[in-house]
Amino acid sequence: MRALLLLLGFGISLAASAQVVSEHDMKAAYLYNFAHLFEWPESRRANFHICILGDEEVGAAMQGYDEKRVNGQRMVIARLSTTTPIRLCDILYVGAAEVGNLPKIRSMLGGQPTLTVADKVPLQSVAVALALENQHLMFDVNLEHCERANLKARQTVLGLARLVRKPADGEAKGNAVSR
Amino acid sequence: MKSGGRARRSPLFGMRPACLALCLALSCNPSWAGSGDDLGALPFEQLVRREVTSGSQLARQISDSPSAVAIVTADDIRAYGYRTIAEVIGSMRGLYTTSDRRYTYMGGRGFGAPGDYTGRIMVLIDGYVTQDSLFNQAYIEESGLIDLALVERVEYVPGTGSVTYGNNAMLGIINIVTRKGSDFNTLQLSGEAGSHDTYRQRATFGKRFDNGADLLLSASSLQSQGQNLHFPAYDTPANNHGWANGIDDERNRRLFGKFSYDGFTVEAAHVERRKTVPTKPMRLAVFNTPFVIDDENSYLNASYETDLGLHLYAASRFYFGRYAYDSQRTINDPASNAQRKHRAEWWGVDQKFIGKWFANHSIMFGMEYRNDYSQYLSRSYFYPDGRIDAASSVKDSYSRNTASLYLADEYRFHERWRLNVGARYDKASDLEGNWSPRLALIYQPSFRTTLKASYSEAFRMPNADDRSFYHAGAAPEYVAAKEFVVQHDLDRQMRLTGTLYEYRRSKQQVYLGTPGHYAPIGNSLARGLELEFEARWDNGLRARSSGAWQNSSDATGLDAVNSPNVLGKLQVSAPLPGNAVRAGLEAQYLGSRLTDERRRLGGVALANLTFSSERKWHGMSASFSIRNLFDRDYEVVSPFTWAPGTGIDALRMDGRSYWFQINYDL
Repeated sequence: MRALLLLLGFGISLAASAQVVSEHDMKAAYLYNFAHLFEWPESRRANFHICILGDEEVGAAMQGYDEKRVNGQRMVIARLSTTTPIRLCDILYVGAAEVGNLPKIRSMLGGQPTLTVADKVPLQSVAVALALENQHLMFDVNLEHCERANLKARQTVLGLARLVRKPADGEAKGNAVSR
Repeated sequence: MKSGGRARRSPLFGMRPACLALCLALSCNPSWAGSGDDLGALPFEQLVRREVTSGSQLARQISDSPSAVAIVTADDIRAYGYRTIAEVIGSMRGLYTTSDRRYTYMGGRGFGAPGDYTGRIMVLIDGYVTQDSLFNQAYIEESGLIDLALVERVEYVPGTGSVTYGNNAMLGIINIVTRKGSDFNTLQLSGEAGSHDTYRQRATFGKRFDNGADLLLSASSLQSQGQNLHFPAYDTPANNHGWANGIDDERNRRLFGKFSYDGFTVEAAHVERRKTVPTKPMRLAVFNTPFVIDDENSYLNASYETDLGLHLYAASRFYFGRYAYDSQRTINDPASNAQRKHRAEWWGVDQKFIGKWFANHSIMFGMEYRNDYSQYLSRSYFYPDGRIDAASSVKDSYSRNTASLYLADEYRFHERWRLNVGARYDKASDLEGNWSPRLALIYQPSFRTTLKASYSEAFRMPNADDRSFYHAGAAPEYVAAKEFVVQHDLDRQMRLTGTLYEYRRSKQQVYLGTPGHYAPIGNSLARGLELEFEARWDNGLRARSSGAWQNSSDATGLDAVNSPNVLGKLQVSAPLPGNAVRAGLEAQYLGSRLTDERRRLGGVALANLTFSSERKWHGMSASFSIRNLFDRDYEVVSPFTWAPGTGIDALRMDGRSYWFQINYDL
């Protein structure tokens, strides 16, 4: 038994150096990248608002990108506890705790240029839906939603998406999954 | 437009010099202490290729329940080499299982008396209640409906669940969530081999289509030769010196299919298991003669979830279930061939709505109708020449339909406070209507800490077997439960959970001293404390450890039978050097407990060790498990009084056993 624990302990100490990305760190990195990979209508605001609603961990991870620059604007991370201020968000990440409020969020935003992102939700309810699949963080893009919000997706983001939902007929384009 | 074609600036340029200097000095960015490297600096093309640890954060509960949910994920199933739902349950805080070489039963919090089957807990697969409608038994070993390879996670929701599920959810709910086709996205073949000539084969096909539809199909079969077993209670020359030879075999076949598209899901499963029972489970049974039982369970579950607009969501469900049991044994009687043939079929519909009309309320309401239209129990006895002993043979036929209404509101009356109020009303055709209420208060002083206090009541209708056994005396049984829970995340990788509970059961059947005389007048009490520590560190090390202390009495006021006072669990797994193989070590302590004859069995500690491949190698993955690593000789409480007067009323369990599994993705 002791030998076994020693063996395990040895394994652990060696494995400790392995690089693993946690899901919420990855989500935060995606949100940061989305700020560069979508185009917003001209804005006179000095700040670019990334809002996190209903997920404390993504909120904490996102904090690391506070005050970074995105195309001349200063990135401001806002960790929200209610939906009231969401019309000020350029990117709104809706965490699991608030996913039930998506329809309300959608009607509150209307045609507001806000990129809505959520995890494990039907694509029709957001602009970008994230999904963890085979240890990779996948994302689907809903162009209909983007069009309504007056946002343009760059080719990079469309090429890397797992699924792109076209505006006209709602038909989805399949993309080879990573294996 | 924001400056369009300009190349993306390196995020480092955005940093203030002071911060940059600090980062260099500490050689890491304090803001990203968790991630270890600067993900923001990677081009997106590279970022999407990085592997993410699925839930390197601790698994979050799906069930919306004011109790301390325990979760076992597909990762844990692989790391600790679980093969059945029973093994998963045995690893969970405060739970234990008991096998009698026929079925495996679960227990915890004073539930799990011998002979109870797995009866007073609810086991759900993707929302479908798996209990049969004759015995309310949940099948958790090889007679269970699902292959563990198809399981995404298993949640144990302690505390009564009648407020949501009605009948039978007395101790709690085991919620099994199956995987999706996209989790496989290929044809996977799997082969297993284990001790006692045990083999399993499985083929699973999963696919996610371009339009978002998802398909999962799977078939498997198991064959086990079993062992020659020695039973000291029958160690006489007339009984082959207590040896039951060649009558421990088992086989099963399973089918599973699931298709989902745009909120619509249809799922079906079937299992048939044949087990030869090597024990002598009834007084009249003859030792060392074949006793063959067949269990067959199937279901079809179709559901549709949609957003009706106006902040109203609907979930509609139709289900059909079927159970069949056949057994044949030799008994010590002129009509020596005893046969049982039990059949049940049922269907139901459930319509649930969730209204989000008010900012601080989430209102759930709905109705369910269930029709147990066929409940058939038959016990027949045949003479050796084939004639039936009509006088002793019994055929009982029952049916029941149940209409239910439920309503629950989660009211967030303060940013940190939530009140959860709900009730369900069930009216069965043969019983008075019954209300099951629940009241819970949830307080979150910070996002890392949650406190929950709840009071709930649950009930259990007499099932067909009860009606056949107790006749007019069959009556519903009740439980009232109080629970207090504290959950605290030390950081995003470590969590502590503590629970205090009290279950008061009432209207339990009590034996009145003369054969056949029972009355539903018993009360009993169980109290306990459970503590758990759970961690998933970023270096791949995972640990979970729990202790449960319980004190329960039965309807006679005595210390409850087969209810250990202490339960301990420890699971540690970590990648071995090279990161190709993960080792998972599990230790379980089952405290001392009383047998049916009120003899105390000593506590026992068991260990299991599993090695599993961390990643696929040309589509191949494998795992190797050793159960009962130190070959401990131990006994469990037997659910049947099988050798009165011998002082032997416990069953010896297996020693060390091995198991090897290999999977290949085509």
